[in-house]
Amino acid sequence: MSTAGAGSSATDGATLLQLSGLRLQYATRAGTLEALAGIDLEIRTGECVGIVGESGSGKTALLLSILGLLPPAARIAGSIRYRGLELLGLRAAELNRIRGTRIAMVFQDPMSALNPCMRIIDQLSEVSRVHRGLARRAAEGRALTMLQAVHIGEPARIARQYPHQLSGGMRQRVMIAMALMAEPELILADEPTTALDVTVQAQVLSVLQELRAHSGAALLLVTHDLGIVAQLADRVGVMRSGRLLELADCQTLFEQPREAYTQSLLASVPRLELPA
Amino acid sequence: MSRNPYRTSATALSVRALAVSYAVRHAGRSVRLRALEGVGFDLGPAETLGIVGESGSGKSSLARALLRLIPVEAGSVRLGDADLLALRGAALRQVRARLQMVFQDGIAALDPRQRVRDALEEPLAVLRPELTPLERQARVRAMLARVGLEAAHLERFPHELSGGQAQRIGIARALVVEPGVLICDEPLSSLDVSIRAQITTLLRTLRDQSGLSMIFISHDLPAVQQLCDRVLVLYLGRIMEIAACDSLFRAAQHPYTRALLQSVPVPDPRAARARRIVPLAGEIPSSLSPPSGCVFRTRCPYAVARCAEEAPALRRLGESEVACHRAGEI
Repeated sequence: MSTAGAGSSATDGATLLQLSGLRLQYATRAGTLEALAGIDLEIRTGECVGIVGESGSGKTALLLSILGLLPPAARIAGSIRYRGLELLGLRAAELNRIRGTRIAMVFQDPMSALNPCMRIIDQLSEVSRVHRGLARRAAEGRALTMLQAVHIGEPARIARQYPHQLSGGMRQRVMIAMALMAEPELILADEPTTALDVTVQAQVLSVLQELRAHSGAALLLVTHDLGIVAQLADRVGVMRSGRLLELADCQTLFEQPREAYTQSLLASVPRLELPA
Repeated sequence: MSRNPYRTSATALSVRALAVSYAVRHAGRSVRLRALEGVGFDLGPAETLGIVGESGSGKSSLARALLRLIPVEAGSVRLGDADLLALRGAALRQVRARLQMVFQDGIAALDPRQRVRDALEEPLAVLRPELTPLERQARVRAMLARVGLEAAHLERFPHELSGGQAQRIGIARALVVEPGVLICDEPLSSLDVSIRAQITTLLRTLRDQSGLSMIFISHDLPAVQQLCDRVLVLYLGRIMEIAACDSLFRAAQHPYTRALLQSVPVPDPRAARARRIVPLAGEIPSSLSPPSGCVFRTRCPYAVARCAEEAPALRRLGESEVACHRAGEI
């Protein structure tokens, strides 16, 4: 791994995840709806790829496809290879050896992603017990370490609480800690800071940046906020209507966008004019 | 501001020492949650005042209190010559035609079973009963054109509208009765970036055309910078700072305002990575047990003993009014 600052090429070049010709369709009464229309995307170890686009562009569908979390009505075609292993068509039991352990997910809304009836410590340690076969005591120890790593003050006290007792920023940090429990190589994050206030968003982003630097995990970050992508991503993809319109090095995308849509997206980003 | 030909010295809305509290159950007992305390400001004719702050800072309570949608505990609100808090019944309804609101979620703010036509005619029927049906329809069509929609939209139901269209209808519904003051409570937050820019431009155009006074509540600081003449910063229901928009963004005096501005992501990879920001620690405390003295002190990097003992009053400093013991020396 290289330094904490994203943007420096934090990759050793090996392909972690390879999406080829990924298509996703839903049969509806009104006809076939195409959520993903042929996506080709490669994610290398340790890098952060940002995917931006407006609502309905297929950003979330992309993440859910990778994890095999689509509803039964979904028809999926193409290929999703994780370190050479084809994930499409794997049985749930086989897929479960990958998700949670190798690929983890941070959802947008932690309140609906966390189990409301389980204490934080139990939800976190379950990950290590199921995926790594740790004993309860060892798993709880790791959970406390991860809570500390995401800068939760008084981790021992917070660990005894239920999700509804925590603030939004705290819950999102718990989600990130949970994603990291099994030491994944790839973290998928769906709008991880959208529900947060700017000051708390800044905290969570710096936690994400710090953890990526320490763990060496790759990050596939879906967001509508180009400001977040500018801060974190090595490469950026722009999605529209289920297509990846443009994929480029972060700086290149911001400074020389190729597609007219990317240019209009960049032009509509609100910028704060502050003295240098 | 020079860009604003309608601005005079009179005030459109005048708020003094406003306090709002809610009765909530906490640990089995009924307690008062103080959502706003000692909030006061003036809104000039054709002026736009931005209100910023994190969730829980009291932004929406302020909007609702001004419209009398929630009870006010203390203070006064004057709309021109009318004492808003003293009015009841028909008199209050009369005044409400002069003070209208645009809500956060455009689709949720509309009645799902009401066509756009009816949603726009209803406020006229209630608040401008002197108009004939023909006059009403003419006003609705004219208003629809002003917000950039077509007559075909009149027959639609809310679920047939996009988020941006629904917000345009929300704006049309508020402005069709020709209020003097418009309160916008997070009008952009449910919209995509490109639509946000359109709605911001629309609000600016409508304001400039009609000399409307506006309160623009938002956590979208770049939009506030584009639209507002002055900005008020709230934290835990108290005013931290009020200043002209350009001086607030150029030289914020309050440590909370500075932290807020620093936290906004910069959509430029070089600049974003060059700057070294230290995120503000912790989160906004509960309004049930606000810190003693200055409510911001628990997160403030400059807090000293005095900050825990004595709540700072708003005072003039540079071009701001600021509630901080240490502003000016930090």
